[in-house]
Amino acid sequence: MGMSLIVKKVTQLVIALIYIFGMYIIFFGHIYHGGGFPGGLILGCGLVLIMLAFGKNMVLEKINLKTLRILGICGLFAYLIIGLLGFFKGSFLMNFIPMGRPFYLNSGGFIPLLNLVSGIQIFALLFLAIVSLTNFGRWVESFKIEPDEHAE
Amino acid sequence: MFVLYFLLGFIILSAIIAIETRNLLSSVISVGVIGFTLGIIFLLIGAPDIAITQMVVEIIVLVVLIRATVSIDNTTIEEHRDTFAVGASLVFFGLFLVFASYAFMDLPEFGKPLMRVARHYLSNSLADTGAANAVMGVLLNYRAYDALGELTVIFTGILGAMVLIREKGRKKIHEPRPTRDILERGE
Repeated sequence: MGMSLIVKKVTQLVIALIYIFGMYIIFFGHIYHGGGFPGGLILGCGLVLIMLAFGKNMVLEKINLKTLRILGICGLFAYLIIGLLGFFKGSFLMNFIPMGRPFYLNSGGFIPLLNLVSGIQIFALLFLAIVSLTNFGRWVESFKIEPDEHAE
Repeated sequence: MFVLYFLLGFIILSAIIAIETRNLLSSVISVGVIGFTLGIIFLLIGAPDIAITQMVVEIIVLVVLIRATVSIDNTTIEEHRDTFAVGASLVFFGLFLVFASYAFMDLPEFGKPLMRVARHYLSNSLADTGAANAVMGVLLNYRAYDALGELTVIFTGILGAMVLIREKGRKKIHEPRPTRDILERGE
């Protein structure tokens, strides 16, 4: 299953760079371009690349889909909990982390934290959506009506 | 400015090709070209964060469309064109364009915006939020509630789609129901 040997080897060489680039865009979202949304999408695309190159069965054996589902749900709830922690400083979603020097990684208050949380959620949910879509064709085909159903 | 008009004409040409061609793969690739050129336009008018997101979403949509459409056997489309439907949609679209052009005359000119709130955000973004990227400062500090709404929409949409596409819970006519769903089989 999957694609030819050249595609598999190139994927093995390149996938680490894709993941480092995706995490760079998430972690440095408050200084350089990017943020949580594009970073999570790039990480999800890396996993889809593995699924396309090596076949669906190999990926589904090695990756626990229940864990991905829990990660996707916890991402949204972590965002809500960070928002509720803002009540220590006044209102919902108020910044409660002291701000550091600008252009450094600890600047921006809780913006890096929100980036991380939304990136994890989008990565998990995107891969689950594409796995569900790849099963959709087989589910539709299993509803072919047998010939003796028409005879009434 | 001429480059933007040229890229816009390229998008229109690619959209016409996507509708009129008979080969299914050419049609899907033309849809991909539309999204890719839109990403380039976003780069040229100075919005790199949106350009990154547009490119990645376009790649995902293209991969899903190609996997969904090209694996079927019949790759050419033969259909009769419904003349009345096309004519009626052209008439209504023309009416919409006439009224919309009156509305667009009232908007401020492209490149000279009317920045009232945006002036405060741009000048105080580094001091209030501490983030050097003003886009992130607006998106996740001044307007963090809207980002929560976006994440909720993505969450609800994808979980709803996953529920609708499940194998479990659908009665099959001549086969026994599978005992565990594919999403729970990976344990």
